[in-house]
Amino acid sequence: MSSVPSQTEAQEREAVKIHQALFGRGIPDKLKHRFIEASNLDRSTHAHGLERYYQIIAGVRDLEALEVAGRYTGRLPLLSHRFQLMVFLAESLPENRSDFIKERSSVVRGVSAVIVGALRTGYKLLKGIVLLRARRV
Amino acid sequence: MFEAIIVGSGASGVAAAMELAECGITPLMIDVGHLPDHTPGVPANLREYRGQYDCFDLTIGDRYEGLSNILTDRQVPVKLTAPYLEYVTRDAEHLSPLDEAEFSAIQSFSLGGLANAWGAGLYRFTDDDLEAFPIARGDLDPYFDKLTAAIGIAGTADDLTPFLGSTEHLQRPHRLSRNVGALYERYQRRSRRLADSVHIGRARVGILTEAHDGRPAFAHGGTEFFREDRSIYSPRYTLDRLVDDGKVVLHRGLLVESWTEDETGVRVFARDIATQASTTFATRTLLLAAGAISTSKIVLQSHNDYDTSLPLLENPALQLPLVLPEAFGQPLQTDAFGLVQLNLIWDSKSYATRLQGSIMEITAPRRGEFFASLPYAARDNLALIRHLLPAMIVMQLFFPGSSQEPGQLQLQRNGRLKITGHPNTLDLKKLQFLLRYLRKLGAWSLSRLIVRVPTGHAVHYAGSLPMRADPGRYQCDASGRLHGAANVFVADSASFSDLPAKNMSFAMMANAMRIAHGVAAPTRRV
Repeated sequence: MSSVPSQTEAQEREAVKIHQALFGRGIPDKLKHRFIEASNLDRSTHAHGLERYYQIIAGVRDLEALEVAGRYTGRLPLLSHRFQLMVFLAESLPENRSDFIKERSSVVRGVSAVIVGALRTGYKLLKGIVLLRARRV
Repeated sequence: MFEAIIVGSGASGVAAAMELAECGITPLMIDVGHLPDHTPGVPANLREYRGQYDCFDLTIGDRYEGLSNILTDRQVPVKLTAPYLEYVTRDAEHLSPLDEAEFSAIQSFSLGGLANAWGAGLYRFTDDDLEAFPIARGDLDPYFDKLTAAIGIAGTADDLTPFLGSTEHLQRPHRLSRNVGALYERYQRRSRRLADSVHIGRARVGILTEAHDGRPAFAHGGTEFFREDRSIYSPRYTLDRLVDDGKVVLHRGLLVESWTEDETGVRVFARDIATQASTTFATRTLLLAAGAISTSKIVLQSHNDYDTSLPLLENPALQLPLVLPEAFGQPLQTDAFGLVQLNLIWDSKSYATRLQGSIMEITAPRRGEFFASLPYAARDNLALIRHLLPAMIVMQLFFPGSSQEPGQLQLQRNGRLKITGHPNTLDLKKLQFLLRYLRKLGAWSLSRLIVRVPTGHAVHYAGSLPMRADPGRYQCDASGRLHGAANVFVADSASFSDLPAKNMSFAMMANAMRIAHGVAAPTRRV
């Protein structure tokens, strides 16, 4: 019985950190609640090794780097899965509209998103690989 | 005793019912017939609504139905993840359990069938398409004409007319979106100077551009993925009217399992899905229109045949994302038509066959659908979603069923149907000519993002009980009559002799009407 609250706490921490990594701000309670509810329906939640997964993400500050490295190396697929889950849930909230839909024309910002994004992704990827190795994932 | 029983309320079943009703026969239609729980109320423009209200109920659903592709192992096409469409595939795994290998079938037991979630692409089969059939275009044309007038189909005369058939009775085409319009404008200017093996023209879709038959014109509100929109034709609308007018007797809640036949007629055995009680109906004529997979299962169960493997055709398909660099940095167009806008016909030398592409915007699906396909770190992927997706369109490229080995359907003794398919291994290198052609029209492909559609997800299933001029066991004659039966007809795509690279729905409906007409003509009855 004692594992239930600890899992909920771990899920809450997971929700907060993934939302921060994606949007750079705190997670609304409503979204946190939905994320945990959806996670409990997720087939992956009941997979072997979940405790280790929570340990890993609890010990890493830059979850975005860990996720992109995990995605490219095929390690930690659950983290990418949870990022995807958060994206879908976050998109349904009106306050997140501008994170998904661009309202105004801006070629410069578009081009810079591609170029800067590529450079930043490269950096995050390298950092993430180091993080994966450090945690023996 | 009923004059005729139709099994299935999808596009084929309803088309057959229409024709029988016109011939003065009131058929009994039997189907499980699930209906939507509710139709969500949404203002006219979903994209504006999204900025003002929580869309959880609309896009995710209180049982997280909208996340089924993430939360479960069962993958369905994106449109079927919309919560309001949950009823379309409800209970399918219980009502018709499948053991699948390299095949992922989508089955529906809803009233109106899979057409409740279709893209409404409605294309006439030509003589080329019907080459392997024991019938010709002239046999289907009268029914294509009737359906065009009844449904209300948008389209026009253009370079695709030789491939898509008569333009009579068509409504004007849908207005093109910014991106698709730019591509088409370039095609119209340059096509004479480009290769003559590629043709592009306006799609033929059963989506109204003018109010018709009590249904409104399409409102361009981006709601097409998330709520019922009566401007998009569903056979259910025709069925409702036929039932209201007393021209069809509808019996919902029953799953037809088998039939037997003797000189007195056909006895149809069904199971009540709520009580599990068995029910028997008697009829002079049975029309099977439950969809290729279910119809095949009923036939195999009727013969207690656990040994035979029936063929199952499907259109292998590729999904090609295309970027229009000129649109880069533009905002998302909020009033774009989200379903097929253009079609492309490619007489491909590299694949040695004719292929059909459906070109559409990607404004309707949730933005999150694209997140996992993009190559950047998470926050940069969100930036790509904002900046890159408004400049992207997608083409679904369909190949003929003959492009890969047919799947196999076999009934097992435990009652489950075994479907064995083949993985989609289409050679992407052979696309180079088409990709170069599209680049000349300003549309660049991101080859890393080209997706081989999983076998089964094109949801064009056909050919398990094919029509042949000289039919054998588990084949039909040209009238749709199942070999060995006197009054059992296959009125859905199971009876297709082949599957060209063209959306089969319209031909399936016209053929169902043709078969029903034959059934209604006393001289044709045995």
